[in-house]
Amino acid sequence: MADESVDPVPVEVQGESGNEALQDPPQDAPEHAEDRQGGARRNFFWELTAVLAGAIVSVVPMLVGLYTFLLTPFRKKQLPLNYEAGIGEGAGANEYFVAPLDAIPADGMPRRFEIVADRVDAWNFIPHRPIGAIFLSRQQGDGPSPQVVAFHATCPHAGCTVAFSVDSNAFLCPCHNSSFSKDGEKMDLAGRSNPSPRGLDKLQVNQEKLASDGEVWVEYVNYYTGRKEMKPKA
Amino acid sequence: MKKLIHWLVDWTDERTGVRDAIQEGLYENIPGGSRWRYITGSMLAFAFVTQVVTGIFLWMSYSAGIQNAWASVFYIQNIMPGGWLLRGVHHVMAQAMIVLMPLHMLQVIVDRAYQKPREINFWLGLVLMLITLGLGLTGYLLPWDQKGYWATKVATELAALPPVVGGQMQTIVVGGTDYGHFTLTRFFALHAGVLPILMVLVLGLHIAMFRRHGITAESSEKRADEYFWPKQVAKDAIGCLILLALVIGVVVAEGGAELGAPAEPTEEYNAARPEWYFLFLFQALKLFHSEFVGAIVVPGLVVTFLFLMPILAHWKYGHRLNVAFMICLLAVAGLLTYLALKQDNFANWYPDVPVTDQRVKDSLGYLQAKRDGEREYERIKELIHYNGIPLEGPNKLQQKDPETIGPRIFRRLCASCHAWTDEQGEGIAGPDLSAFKPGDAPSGAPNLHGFASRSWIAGLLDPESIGSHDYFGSTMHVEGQMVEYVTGELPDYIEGDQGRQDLEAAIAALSAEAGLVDQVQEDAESEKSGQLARGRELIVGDFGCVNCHSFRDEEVGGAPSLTGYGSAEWLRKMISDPNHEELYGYESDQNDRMPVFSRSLTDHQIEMLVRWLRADDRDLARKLELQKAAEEAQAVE
Repeated sequence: MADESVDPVPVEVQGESGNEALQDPPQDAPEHAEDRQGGARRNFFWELTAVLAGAIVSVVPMLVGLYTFLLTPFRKKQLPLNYEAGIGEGAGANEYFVAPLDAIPADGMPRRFEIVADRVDAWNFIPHRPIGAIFLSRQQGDGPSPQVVAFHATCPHAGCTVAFSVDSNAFLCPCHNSSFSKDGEKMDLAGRSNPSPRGLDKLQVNQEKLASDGEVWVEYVNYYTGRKEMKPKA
Repeated sequence: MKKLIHWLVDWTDERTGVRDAIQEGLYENIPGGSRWRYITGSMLAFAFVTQVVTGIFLWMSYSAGIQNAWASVFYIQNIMPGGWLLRGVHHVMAQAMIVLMPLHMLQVIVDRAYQKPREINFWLGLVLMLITLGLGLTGYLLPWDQKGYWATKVATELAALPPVVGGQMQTIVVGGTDYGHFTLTRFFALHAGVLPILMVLVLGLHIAMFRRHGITAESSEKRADEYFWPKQVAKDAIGCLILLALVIGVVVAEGGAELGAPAEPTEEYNAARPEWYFLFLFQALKLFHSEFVGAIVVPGLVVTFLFLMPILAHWKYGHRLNVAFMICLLAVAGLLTYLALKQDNFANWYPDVPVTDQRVKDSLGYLQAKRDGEREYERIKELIHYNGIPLEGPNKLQQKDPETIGPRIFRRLCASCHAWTDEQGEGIAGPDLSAFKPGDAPSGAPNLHGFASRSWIAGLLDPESIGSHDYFGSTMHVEGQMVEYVTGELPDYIEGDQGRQDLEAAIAALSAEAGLVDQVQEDAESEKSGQLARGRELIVGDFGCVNCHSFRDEEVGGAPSLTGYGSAEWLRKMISDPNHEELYGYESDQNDRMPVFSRSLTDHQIEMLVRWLRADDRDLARKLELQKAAEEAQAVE
């Protein structure tokens, strides 16, 4: 009967620490013929085998698991073949159609819009899923054609979602009191200290499509929060 | 460096007594020295640890719930890097544990390690065995595939057998009256939480108690004692290493653990079997007329006997009885497993036994169901490749897929008359017409494989085959005008090269009415070469088809219309309302038993059946190509 669980830890400690530290047989040990005949070399063979085999069996299953666990999140997501020409990730650029120009108030008031994309989420494929929000507002341009500015709705401080307050004429974050002007600049409002490291993240609007088709297409990028500079998330 | 390690060891030892602990662990005396046959316990402990490690990593990607369970396992198996290996090791190592358990037990009994004072430890071992079986049973359901679903369903049906509380017991296990989310969440909690924790506790006691009593050496005066370290440790470690190598070898050879098509509660799976190590119980159920006796009383008695073994051993012949019982038990389990496998694979193992033998029929049914299941799995894999898995789960994909739904409906409703088999006989068998003789009452209908394709119509117009079981041979039409025409008049028209060409043209023209995707190219070529125009001329003219059938501008009453013959619309009409006046309705006695399905099938089901018969969706790559081409054409306009 043998239920000895091979505990690899002490075995390994021993292999490293040499013979004298841990391996002295107990004083009251029974006389072992094997030991006495001085099979020091034979004993070494068994010790080495025990340590090596023990190390392999205790590490391999863990390695297999770690491999799947660590690599999976970095795997490039594959869109199903029928949707390869879909929206967003995998379909080339991160440019999304957001709204027709008419949908944005003419008076320069920012309005919130959803970004909709085809998404692979682990085992599921979800077409037309809202993946984030942005604010669009019209601005006076130099030329005859209208200008549209786009801001990411995520607060660059800690990732809450800002809202536009008509009363304050500013974007206000509900979490830690960050405030931003209509132009997305950091601003100080009375009674609200502003912890944000930078202004709202400005997103690229495709001016060509705006001018030619009157459609607002935006390059939707997420940036790391809590930093002074805008660093895109991969 | 060495000094530092020394100091660290001293420092730790002073605070924890680690040195004593290790010494106690490693310098356990083994009377009679180390032996290879003592390694089974260590191997089992190692296997369990492997299950915990791989299980926790699987847990990080598994999602219980009826839309997610199969999808997440599919992801692990097919998409996750190394996932197939992880799941494979978990799956095969579980089976290795089941194989090792009886070996360990046999060694314990043969070496008399279950007798006084080790009774309690023996009982703990039996508890560990039951926990392991419980882990196997609960784990089988988690992928939520057809195999696990239907096999586990049988197992939980048995939970309802005990008198008085049976029904409630089943409701508790299943988490309600029906299989669903709760069944999965409960089984998962048992499999990954309750049972492993119990296992760790009991295993801890088991090992501690083993340590207390030490090794029970069989009379071994001739061999010197040895310490546990290093020889026995090395032997244990080598045993574990070999076990791991074998398990990984099997996983690599098999490409990972099997996964079936997603569970479908309305589509019973006739090849559902429990995991092989439960097959003997499955087979035992066939032996007893009462399930209660087969599933509860007999296994209960066996387990009770196992628990009584240490007590029985006090009796003079007790030990011998125990050894004999163990050997008989293993032999019977082995025999029952063999019988179960033999029944399922009878047709393969005994190819000489005629097909009419019931054992062959049963076996063929099982093998067919298994093949159908594999086909469904391959199909869903393809569907996922093209469409992804929607949030509603994989069943949603299947419900919209003619290649999955079509055969299911056909098997249920159509196969009692029609076959759907290719030249090799592969496909869905129709009624057994082997004993059918000409002159018998009609008992079948045409084989619909490749219906309305050129080769199918060529067979219909062949005097040799129109009277066969593949066409009108087992219908009342065998004595009707069509057979009379094909065997009587037609051969005169098609003599010589010109005649054969004419027949080919007519066949091409009629088949083009169907607009089958498989024939898009041929149809286009024939249209270009004028073959189709010629064929249409012949159908109306020389061949005189329009004497009975309508064709395009020629509208006559009588036999089924040839306009759009085999097209989606024509088939839809034929299935939902065969007595329509364009089909068999003109003369009411023309319809030989084709039922009206508009009331028993939904429009969607009929659509699925039609598209499957026409093979519209069989080739998804081609379907996508055609779709893209159509979109481009539209964009150009």
